[in-house]
Amino acid sequence: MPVKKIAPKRRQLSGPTAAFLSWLMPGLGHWWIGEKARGVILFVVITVTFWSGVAVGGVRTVIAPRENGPWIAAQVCMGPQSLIAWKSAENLRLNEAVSAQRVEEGIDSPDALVSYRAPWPSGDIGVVYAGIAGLLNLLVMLDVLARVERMNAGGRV
Amino acid sequence: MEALRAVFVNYVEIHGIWRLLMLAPLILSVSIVYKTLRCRKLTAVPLSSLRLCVSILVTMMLFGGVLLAVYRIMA
Repeated sequence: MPVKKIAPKRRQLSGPTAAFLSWLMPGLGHWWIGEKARGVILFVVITVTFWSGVAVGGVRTVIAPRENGPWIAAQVCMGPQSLIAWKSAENLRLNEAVSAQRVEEGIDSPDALVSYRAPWPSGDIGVVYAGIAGLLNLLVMLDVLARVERMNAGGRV
Repeated sequence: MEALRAVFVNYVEIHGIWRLLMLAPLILSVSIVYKTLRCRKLTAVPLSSLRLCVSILVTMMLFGGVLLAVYRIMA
């Protein structure tokens, strides 16, 4: 009697989990579904782009939700990295506010006024770099969702 | 640690031609990410992303040149 071969059951991956991992760290979703080299390239390129933007414009100017309008939505797609940058930008803004108050009250001279704000065009270039990095990570999240769907359907990745 | 902090707290002053040159690394990043997602084989990524990067830069420069010419004619 011929033995019927049963194909091994494929592990069903979760698309939202893969997308969330990509948000946590660019490329981590691809790593998780087995596309390790692709994940490493995506991580390096997107992370370098984001932090290059922060270095060019300074974290205070680049991650400024009230000043940069919708760019913050793009930057937040970078995940915890953007949240860390956001937190440090808030600390710098607080330093600026304290310094301005001390000058206003006459405790410090106007020369001692602290400002981390970058002039044009450095600030704008930094904002665009960080925003584009976030949008690229959004693209990565959408791509990993599509790949997981194809894998679960048994198609080619 | 303090030096690393200074890199991200202080901004870089950008003047003159550097305003335009800063476009190239950004376009290279976009090209690499796009081709990494699109290419089935990763060995094809370096060459195809470089080709895409150059074509975007050339197209943008052509557009810029045409716009400048139109502006000069209209002015």
